[in-house]
Amino acid sequence: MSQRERADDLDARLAALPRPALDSAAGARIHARAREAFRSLPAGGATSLPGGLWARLWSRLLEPAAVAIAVAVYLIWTAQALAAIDWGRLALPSTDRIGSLAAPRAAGAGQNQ
Amino acid sequence: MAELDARAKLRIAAQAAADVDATPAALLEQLRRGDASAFDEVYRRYTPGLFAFLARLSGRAAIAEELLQETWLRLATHARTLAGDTNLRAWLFTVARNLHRSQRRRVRLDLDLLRFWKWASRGQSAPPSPLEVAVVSEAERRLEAALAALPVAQRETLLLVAVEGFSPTQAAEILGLRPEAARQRLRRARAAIAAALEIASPPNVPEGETS
Repeated sequence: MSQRERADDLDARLAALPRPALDSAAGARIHARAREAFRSLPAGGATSLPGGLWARLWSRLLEPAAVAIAVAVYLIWTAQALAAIDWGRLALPSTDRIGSLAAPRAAGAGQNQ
Repeated sequence: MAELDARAKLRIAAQAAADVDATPAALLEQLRRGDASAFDEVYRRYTPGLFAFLARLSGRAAIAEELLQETWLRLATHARTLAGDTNLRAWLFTVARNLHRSQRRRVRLDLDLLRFWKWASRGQSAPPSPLEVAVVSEAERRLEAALAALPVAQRETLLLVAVEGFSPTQAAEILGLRPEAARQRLRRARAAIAAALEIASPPNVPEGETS
């Protein structure tokens, strides 16, 4: 038997398995609840736009626009925050200054010995 | 002969699935307009398949019922905003599958599923669930056990293609995968089931036929 035939055979055996059946009382309860939810929504759905138009408008235009605006605002805010920092005051001490600070420590260490 | 039977069964199953697959455009339009009788018709058509899919994914009837209800509530909420060319059956299976995924995230250690695996591999000790009652023969029990032992990602792919009759490409769309990834999962799932069945029942080779 070829690989394709084996796959078909296995699929056929799986398809022929008895299906787990929904309890009729549970089925009726689920149906009634879903039907009630379906009927309670106003005709035309949550929007007066034709079916699917709102979803397409959101996914293709509004959502990408909202994400782009959020990213732009974040970048502008970050740039302004970076520009407001006084980099001169945050600069590390120069190597000369580090050397002058280190010298007395070395001297102190000699006194302890 | 058995091969021919199997292929004939497969053709019948695929045809049946294709018949169910095609939601009439008029029915979808009625549903979008808010016609409750269209909702009833759609519920009648797709509930058995959806429940079986969810029961085999979750391994527990109570969880499957909960997820089935949530699936239909999602349709009730979104029916009016569906696009006119929506494949409703694929849409429902996508929702059901995603709800099952979310449910699994919530319940990391699924004790119910472990209980089902234990039943499937050693025989039943707890009261039988509808899934257990449905599986009658030993061969079916072994096959169902092998299916239940698959990783969820492979099981859902195999169920969609082999049992529900979706094409691998449609299954890939439902699962949010590339078609090649879905095909790979299918191959692995079939190989795992074949291996499990061979282990469970080694081939009975009559004496004198061995070479």
